Amino acid sequence: MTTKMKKIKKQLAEWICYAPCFVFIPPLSPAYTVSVYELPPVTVVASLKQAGVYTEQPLSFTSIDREDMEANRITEPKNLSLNVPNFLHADYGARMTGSIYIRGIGSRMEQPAAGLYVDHVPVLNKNNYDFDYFDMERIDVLRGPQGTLYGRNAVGGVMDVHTLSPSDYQGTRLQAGYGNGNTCTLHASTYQKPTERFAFSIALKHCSTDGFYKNSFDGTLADRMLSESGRLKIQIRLSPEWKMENSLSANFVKQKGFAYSLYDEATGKVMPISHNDPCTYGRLGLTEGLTFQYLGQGIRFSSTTSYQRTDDEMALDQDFRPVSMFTLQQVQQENAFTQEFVMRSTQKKEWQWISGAFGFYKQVDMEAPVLFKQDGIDELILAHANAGIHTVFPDANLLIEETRFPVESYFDLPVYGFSLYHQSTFGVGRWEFTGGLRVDYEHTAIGYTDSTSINYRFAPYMREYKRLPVKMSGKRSDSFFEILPKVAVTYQTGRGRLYASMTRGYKTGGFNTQIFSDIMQNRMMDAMMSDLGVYFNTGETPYNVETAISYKPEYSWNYEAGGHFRLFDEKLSVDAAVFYIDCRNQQLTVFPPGKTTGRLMSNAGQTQIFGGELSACYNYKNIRLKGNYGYTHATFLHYRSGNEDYSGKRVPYAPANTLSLNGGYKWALSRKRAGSILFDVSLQGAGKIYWNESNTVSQPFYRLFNADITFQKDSFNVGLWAKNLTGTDYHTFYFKSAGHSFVQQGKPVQFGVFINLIL
Amino acid sequence: MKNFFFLPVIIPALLMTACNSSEPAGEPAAVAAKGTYMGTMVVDQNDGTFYTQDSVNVVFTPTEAGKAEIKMLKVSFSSRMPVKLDMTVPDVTAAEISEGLSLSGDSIVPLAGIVPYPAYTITGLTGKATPQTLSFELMCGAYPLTFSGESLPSE
Repeated sequence: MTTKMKKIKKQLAEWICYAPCFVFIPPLSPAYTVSVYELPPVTVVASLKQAGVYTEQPLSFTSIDREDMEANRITEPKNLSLNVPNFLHADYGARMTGSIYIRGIGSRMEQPAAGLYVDHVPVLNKNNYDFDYFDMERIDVLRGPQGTLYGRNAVGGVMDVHTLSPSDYQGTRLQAGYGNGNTCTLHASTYQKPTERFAFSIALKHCSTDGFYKNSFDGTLADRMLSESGRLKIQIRLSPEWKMENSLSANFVKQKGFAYSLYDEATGKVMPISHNDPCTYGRLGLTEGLTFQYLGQGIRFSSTTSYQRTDDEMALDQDFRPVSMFTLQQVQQENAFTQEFVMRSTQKKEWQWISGAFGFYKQVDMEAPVLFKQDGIDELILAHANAGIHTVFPDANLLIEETRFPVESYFDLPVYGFSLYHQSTFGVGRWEFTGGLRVDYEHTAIGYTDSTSINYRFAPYMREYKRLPVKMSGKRSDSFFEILPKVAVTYQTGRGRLYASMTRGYKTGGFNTQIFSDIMQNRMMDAMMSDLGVYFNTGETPYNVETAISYKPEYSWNYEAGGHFRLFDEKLSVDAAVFYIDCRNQQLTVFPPGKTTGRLMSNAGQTQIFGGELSACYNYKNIRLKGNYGYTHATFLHYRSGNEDYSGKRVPYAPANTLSLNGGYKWALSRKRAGSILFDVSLQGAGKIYWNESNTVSQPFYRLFNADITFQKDSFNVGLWAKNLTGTDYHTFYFKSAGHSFVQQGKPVQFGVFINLIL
Repeated sequence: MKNFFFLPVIIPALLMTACNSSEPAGEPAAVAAKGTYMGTMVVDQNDGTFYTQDSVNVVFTPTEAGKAEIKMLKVSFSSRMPVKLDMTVPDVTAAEISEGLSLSGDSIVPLAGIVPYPAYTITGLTGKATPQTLSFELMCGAYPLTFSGESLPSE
């Protein structure tokens, strides 16, 4: 046996020994040698909150660098799904409703379940999470609660996005692409460093598509979209110690969306998309971030100030059918300010520490009128009321004079918070002990004004229509004081690190805005019936307004063990983790029973989640193999909602398994012709996903096959790509509205061509 | 010492005030009995069982000399009833007696909400209303019904 073989055998034996300890493995800036863009090496963008590389940290993470993103065509957050174990950013039909699930923790509305940082700026509005990725340097997805350093809403994890820095990379990039669905992308950017102290970049991206679905009601395109994005970055080195970065980014989206199909739960049949009122979404988002950094002797200080402005508008045919029931028009304006100071040690000593202070203020002004139309009046109001009335008065009928009436709603939603945090790590030989604590205070409030009026008549006993105005207004506020600790221990082995950690996660509470139309509808019904002296035996009003409009914070304890390993001369990277999460008051979106028009955030009693994650990346010469697998078993331990007891049922919307397998090969052509050809294939899958709390509807595990081929020569490359090659039918979303079930279908076969030029 | 000086004046005044509030001198019994009473309603289901509804509010309103209206709020007469009703019994005869009003009535078509409800014509109504209590029994269609309640403090 040769020495080399012995070495390999020894390494393999070591790896097998370590294998039981693995909990999971995300690829760490893998040294994937196949480069689509031959960019000069750039400095790894460091997170302001992490000392050293993630492989030295007691946490689960996946780092996806620019090469990975371009190889896997990760152009938006939804594409991150399945490339990261136990991570799903589901396609819910519009750029507003993307919801993130990590390890069974997720959120369909209101507060996000994962934090998002873009160039050190925390994004406060969940609607802004879904934006175009371009000129990304790296995205780090940290799984598990990161509350100690990242605070509110980092209960599932954190996505830390770093865009290209003009100080580290200079050049001009041009890209164009075209695909089926008349999908067109254009991208141009330039990164310049005129002097040693000054650098700037301008990046623009255009994306448009006709989409893949048609509204069979009128034959129009159901998911057409236009997206424009831009980013201007300026970096100035003020002195040897101080540097400043200003990043101004804007994104504009205008789309038709929410292309939901009526779904027959009994047969599994999916009807054609058909709705008679518009379903659209538009957004203009602006983020200004200013960061000062001081790098001194053994210390690094940073100050990040941001202003975020979001104007968005959603129009929904809320019955999603070709009937005139009810529509929602939601317009909101948000202004937010954040300020964060971070100070940490930089030297590799026995004691490393980080301290910070964070504050934010956010003001949302929202207008959300629901328009009840003729079918809605007939089906949702009159049919229900008259069914009850006829049991007592067979000859009597409630009539409403209007053929349509609006329920006007205005909301004033201010929220602010402050927090202080500290984390220390002490090294003793091969061991490192970490302890951290965050003190977090948040105050949130809602001011609401809702009004509607109708004219009704109780025939034949009332000869004239009687006007019935219904108004509701009020203010509520709540505050939360939280302590978010973290303890962890790390042991350094010869080939990597093992760790165990215990962290607390926290997702803030708040107020439901999407239930007010239902409350108003109930009040209107009650007022009419009270006027008539008839009361339905449905108990009292289904809503106790005081409790229905608010939801409590969600808490979790995450217990985790894992390891990060680099084997075979770092050709193979393996990261693994197992976890157990005890989640209290998990926030879930629920639909009130019956033919209701609203939805609300509710707190499940107690949820238990356990699972594991495994990632591996192997690079050898021109071959790269990569795999990610995540398993999550999330069940309700105690959860009663109304008369239903969901204890023992699986938590809906979170996939039990996520899988991605990638293989890449670079074929270097002969020197005469120069250039190379890159082949990349991947298999991705997710499921089983339960769609409701009672676990009666689900999406089985589905598989998507993707492939692309790229010809690359110098700074030019051109390629073909395809996604969902086998045309797998699957659903990405399910919900009920007005008593009917709907699904969002996964995208069919997609393919296209692209051309890139680096100058 | 000054306080003791005023006591002979204050005590009779207080007593007079107390008498005024509990026994309105000269107030007609109909006016005194006007108000809302909360109590228990029992309906004989004619099958050996009784349907009992607690905390029922009944508004007693004398309408004109010798007449009154009884309005039972949010009541049902059987567990099988899908709705609750505001049931009004008009034209109840209210005769003044020493303790208050004696109630009686027969062949009265009640109103369920705003709808006349002849199927449940009231017969054999008897009862008594005082400023403190209201009690009556009647036949609601074929179903014997009794109510006994106490006056709620006026708002």
